[in-house]
Amino acid sequence: MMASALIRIKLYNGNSVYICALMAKRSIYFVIVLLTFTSCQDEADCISVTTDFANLQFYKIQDNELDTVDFISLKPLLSDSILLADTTINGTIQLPINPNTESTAYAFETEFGLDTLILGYNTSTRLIAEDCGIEVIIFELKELRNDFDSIRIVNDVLIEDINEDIRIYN
Amino acid sequence: MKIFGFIISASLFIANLSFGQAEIALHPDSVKGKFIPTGIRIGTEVINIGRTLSKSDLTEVTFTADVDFNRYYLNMEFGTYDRSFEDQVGSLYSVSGNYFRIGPDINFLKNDQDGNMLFFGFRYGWTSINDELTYMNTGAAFDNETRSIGNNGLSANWGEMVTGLRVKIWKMLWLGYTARFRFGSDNFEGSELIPHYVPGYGRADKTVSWGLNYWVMVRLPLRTPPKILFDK
Repeated sequence: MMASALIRIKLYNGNSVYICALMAKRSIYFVIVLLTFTSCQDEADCISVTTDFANLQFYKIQDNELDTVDFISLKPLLSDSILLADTTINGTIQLPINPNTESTAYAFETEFGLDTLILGYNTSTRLIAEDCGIEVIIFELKELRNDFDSIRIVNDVLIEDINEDIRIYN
Repeated sequence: MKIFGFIISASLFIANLSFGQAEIALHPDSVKGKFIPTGIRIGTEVINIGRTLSKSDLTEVTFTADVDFNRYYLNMEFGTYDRSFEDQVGSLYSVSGNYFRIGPDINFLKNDQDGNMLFFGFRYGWTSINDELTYMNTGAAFDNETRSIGNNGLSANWGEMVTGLRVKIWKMLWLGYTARFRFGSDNFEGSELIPHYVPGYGRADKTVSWGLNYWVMVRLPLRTPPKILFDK
């Protein structure tokens, strides 16, 4: 009678402990109720570190120092937007990347003349969480065509914290 | 007086010996028949059914089956998952897939007459994934465009360490739960659409995750289990 009411647990050291089978059965109800309220799926934080802008800086080809460039205009092709007009830049230019396509072309009209830059890339899209919307990751950034003296991609995954992705040498 | 005390002590000792001998269980020295299954336990996950009934955008059903080989069990689980929802910013995401998990369990309650289980085990998990995301791209310099991208026929696999309980409630009816530590799933970096949810695993961005399942099961006996002899 006692044997059927007890569950014997043999420990690794050879000792045995007995737990009441009835207690074990009731415990499972308690555990089920308890864990039901603690087993909800955790949601992700709404944090995205990616960006759809490529940061570009001009350098002097002679001494590798930052260059100052007079812009007449800078605009992405196939877009009505004008990024720069009649201004002088000595720092970073943010080039918007079109996440719906595999490449984006830009027309540079500067003191050096008219230049074209075409950037190619891949995109991955994910839903961050149900409350957060989507995130587009732009990676494997590369230049497909350019009219500059020299160009170098220094970072090929577009992340907010990185402030230089492309170097153009004049 | 000393002789009288000796006789009483000897009598008690002999009585105790003979009484003790009656309780000593003799274990057979053969393992023949020991590993032949005594029953199949089949069941379903109850929380998934509750969530399916309470949420109009979700269908998830999971079944389990296990078979015993003495204190070792082979466990199989099969499930199907289908969900479509709209997020807070208007994107539509749908994911569906069928998954299975398979692996061994070891029961630490080896002398329990009902076969109640306190177990530890491993699982190999596999799932198919079909998902689709429809969203509006709102780039700064380009026209807004509604895009729809998806994965068709994607799959994922992972490993699990599991522990849990199986308790006989009444006749063939059993209840139990399984706690899982999942690891080793692909994170799908580089895919055009990175899945948000992997059926049977959970959120796709988690390299490790925890999970719990609560089971209602029925045990179908295959043969009469050998009587368990308790050690003295």
